[in-house]
Amino acid sequence: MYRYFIKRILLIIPTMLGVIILVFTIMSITPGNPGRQILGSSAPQSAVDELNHEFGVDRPFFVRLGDYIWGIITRLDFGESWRTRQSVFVEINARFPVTLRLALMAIIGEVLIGVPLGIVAAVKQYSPADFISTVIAMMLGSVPGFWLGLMLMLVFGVQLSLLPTAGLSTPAHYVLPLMTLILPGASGLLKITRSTMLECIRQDYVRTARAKGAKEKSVIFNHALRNALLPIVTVCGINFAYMLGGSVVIENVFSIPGIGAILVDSINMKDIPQVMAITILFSFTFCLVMVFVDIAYSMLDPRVKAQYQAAGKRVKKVKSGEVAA
Amino acid sequence: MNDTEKKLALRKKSRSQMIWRQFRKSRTAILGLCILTVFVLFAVFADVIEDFDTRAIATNQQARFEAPSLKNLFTENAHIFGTDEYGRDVFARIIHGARVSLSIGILATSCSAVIGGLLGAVAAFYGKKWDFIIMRCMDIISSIPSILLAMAVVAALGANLTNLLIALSFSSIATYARLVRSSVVTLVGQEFIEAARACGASSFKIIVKHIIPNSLSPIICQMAFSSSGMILTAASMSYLGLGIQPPDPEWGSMLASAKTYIWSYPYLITIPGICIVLAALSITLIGDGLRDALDPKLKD
Amino acid sequence: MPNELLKIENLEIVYKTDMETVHAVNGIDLSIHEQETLGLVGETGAGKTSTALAILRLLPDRTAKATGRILFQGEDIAAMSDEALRELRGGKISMIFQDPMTSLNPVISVGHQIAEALALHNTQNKTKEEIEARVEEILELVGIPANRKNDYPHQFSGGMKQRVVIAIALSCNPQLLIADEPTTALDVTIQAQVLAMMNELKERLKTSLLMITHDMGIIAQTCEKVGVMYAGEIIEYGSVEDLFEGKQHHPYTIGLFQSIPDIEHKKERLEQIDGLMPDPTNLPKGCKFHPRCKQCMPICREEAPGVYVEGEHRIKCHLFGGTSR
Repeated sequence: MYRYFIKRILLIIPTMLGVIILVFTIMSITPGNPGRQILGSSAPQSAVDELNHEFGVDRPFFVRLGDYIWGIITRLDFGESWRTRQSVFVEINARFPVTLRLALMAIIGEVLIGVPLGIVAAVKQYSPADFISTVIAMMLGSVPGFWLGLMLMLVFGVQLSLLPTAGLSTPAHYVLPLMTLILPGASGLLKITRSTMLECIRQDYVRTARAKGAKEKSVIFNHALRNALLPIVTVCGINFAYMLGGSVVIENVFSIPGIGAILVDSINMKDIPQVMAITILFSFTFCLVMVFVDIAYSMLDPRVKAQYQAAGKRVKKVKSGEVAA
Repeated sequence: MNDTEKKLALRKKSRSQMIWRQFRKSRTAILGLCILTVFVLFAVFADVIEDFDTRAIATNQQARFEAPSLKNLFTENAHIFGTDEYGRDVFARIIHGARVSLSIGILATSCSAVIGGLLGAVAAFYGKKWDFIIMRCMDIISSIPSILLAMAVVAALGANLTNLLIALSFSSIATYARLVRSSVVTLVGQEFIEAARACGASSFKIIVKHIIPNSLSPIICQMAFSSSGMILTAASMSYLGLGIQPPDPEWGSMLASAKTYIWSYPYLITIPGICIVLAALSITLIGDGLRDALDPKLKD
Repeated sequence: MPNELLKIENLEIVYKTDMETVHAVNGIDLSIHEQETLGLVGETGAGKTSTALAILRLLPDRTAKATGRILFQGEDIAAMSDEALRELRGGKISMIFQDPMTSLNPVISVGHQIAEALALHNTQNKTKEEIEARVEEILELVGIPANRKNDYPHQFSGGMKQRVVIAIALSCNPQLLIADEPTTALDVTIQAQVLAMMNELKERLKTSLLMITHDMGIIAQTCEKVGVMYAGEIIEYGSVEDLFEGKQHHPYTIGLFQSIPDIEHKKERLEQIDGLMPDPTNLPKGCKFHPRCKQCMPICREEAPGVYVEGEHRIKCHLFGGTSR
């Protein structure tokens, strides 16, 4: 099985290579040239040319792409920010921990709120508690994160003057951003927990457990929930990765000095290397999280574990074999 | 016997009628449909109701920050949702913004569904090499969080409506490709496709006439859900200044400019936000109703 | 005559959903004595499984409603406290479910699933080691090597899974075992093995057995008493001899026998009972079998038949007159 995981981790490499090529290509189709865009239309052509030469964008596309990939592979070098003329990691190192910390805290909060409520809603299906939590979850699913942030700011920060609304200097500063991140995520988790639990509760093995004389609590937690965990873990993984993306917007709302703020600034100032580095970094985090989700699967479900063990032993044939058959 | 006859008669009704019957049963779905209809009507007749140039765009320094009121309702100076920092009528901007938001939702979803769907169908139908190449590309696209991918595209192309559409469509192609591929893979193995092939139908004809109609219901559901997601993402992007550029009205960018006045004029925040929520919610409700009507198995 | 273990009086089960009302069981009376095997035979949808689930109060409480009385050792099951019910389930009465593929929890090892039943009904205060030893003993008893106790259900074949289900059911030496079509999902060769094993275990453990099946062969092999169910009623009841050797039968029972191939008498083709079970949402007036009955009389369409009694043999049919109840 370890061989499977090693393989799974190694598979990140071609995916990331693809991501790098894709992101680089997208960023290269920018109309006009970066020098002109940064210096403005009134700058003399010679200055623009000089700047373009400095950035290396006057070279052919494939040369630049090859250079970029080579730099990453050999030296983990993602280039220099065009704005600060420093390595892109200077900004990332300073800001990424803030975003990561927020996302981690938020995902824990989501699980603590969403999963128990989802279980209650499923076990007490059609009860008022089920109805209310399902309706609230549905509403929250349609609220854009930044507006939720603004509304929380309006209510708790402006009207009630209870909580600070900008920055992250004290623990109280964390409350509103975390609520903004947690509420929609928790409602998504509630929905998926509720629906998979409802499915699991109806399974024959749950009836077997009841027929054995198991207590209702044990029926729900030991028998139903353990089977419902797989989709829940998947959603947690996806939520975590998207939280990194979503935090871009939230950080802007609450003026948090995280990586999202830099991303928006970099996009506005055409700082292409910085944008590429941040996008690639987020994608890498996403891939890593999905590997963790896979590992969690094998711990939760012996059937998946068996599959992994089998896949680790044999080289898997191309999946499309089943199409041809 | 009467009941049995009724049931038989029911079975004879066409599929679309059955779906509509099933859909109508869900009160929430009908509510969603009503809300969406109101938005669509306002969006379609926006020019008739409020003139774009004089009401939604032109600044009017005398009428800044007028609070929402029903005063002067049928006159030139009606501002039921108040006015913003340039004295522009918020209601006019909302309904013209509805045009943008709704068309983004519909267009971006359709584009990504058509492109992604075709890619998925080709991958599944031709299998082997094509399947491998297309699906690996989709893996790569989907390993970039979609809002970041959309931001990257906007960063490269520049911020405007067309580029926002391209960005949003591109970032959700992979979902449809996967969805269509998996349903086509199961369909291709079934007998009626073999039969069509045995009758000498061309691959293209089989895809268009047999496979697409049969894999339609999960796609329709996904489209409903993702168009509400598109509206939210588009609003977020515009809020960050990466979508529709001022002075053109769009709900997200209205919120961005209103953020400055959150302390003094909170209605500038609440009204556009509620519109976004209602629009997204109504489409989600319709999607839920459609899912239950199209595939009763998925119902919980 | 041995003591009466289970007594069912005028049991009615109705399933109510938003769409329709299903009359699954319509007033049945049954009793099972100690060490006796009672067979319930009938087509799919005759109400056999609902009856079995009602005995353990396992019917879904939101949709199903059971009226009438079910007495176990003189105690009304409907009036039992949750705790007493848990003792009953798996301890005094246990159940073998129809589909072994879905009746076992896929994420828990089979040994653990058996141990759970033992731990729940641990009246002799066994230690963990003793329970483990008992698990191994039971597995050997049903013909599974003890060293497979840490395996998961997906690693077993269908027949083996059914053996595990039987092991769970027998682990606490129940007084009554309910077997709901225990062999339907199995291959014919495995069927014979499982039946032989159940017969042997029943003898050895001195358990009463309620055997639910649609297979007359199984009835002949295992049962002493038989009830034939049709549309939620017991239309004929008697000893195995009454049913297989007796002269008088309900027309439905005759139909059932005629649809079984017979080696001794050569027939061109098997006879079948025309038509389908009546729609349980809309049962016919009078005798519920009349639309399919070859000997249907005018009275059958109007009045429900009374019970004709001869010794233990009871038939619910107008052909034999009988006293109305």
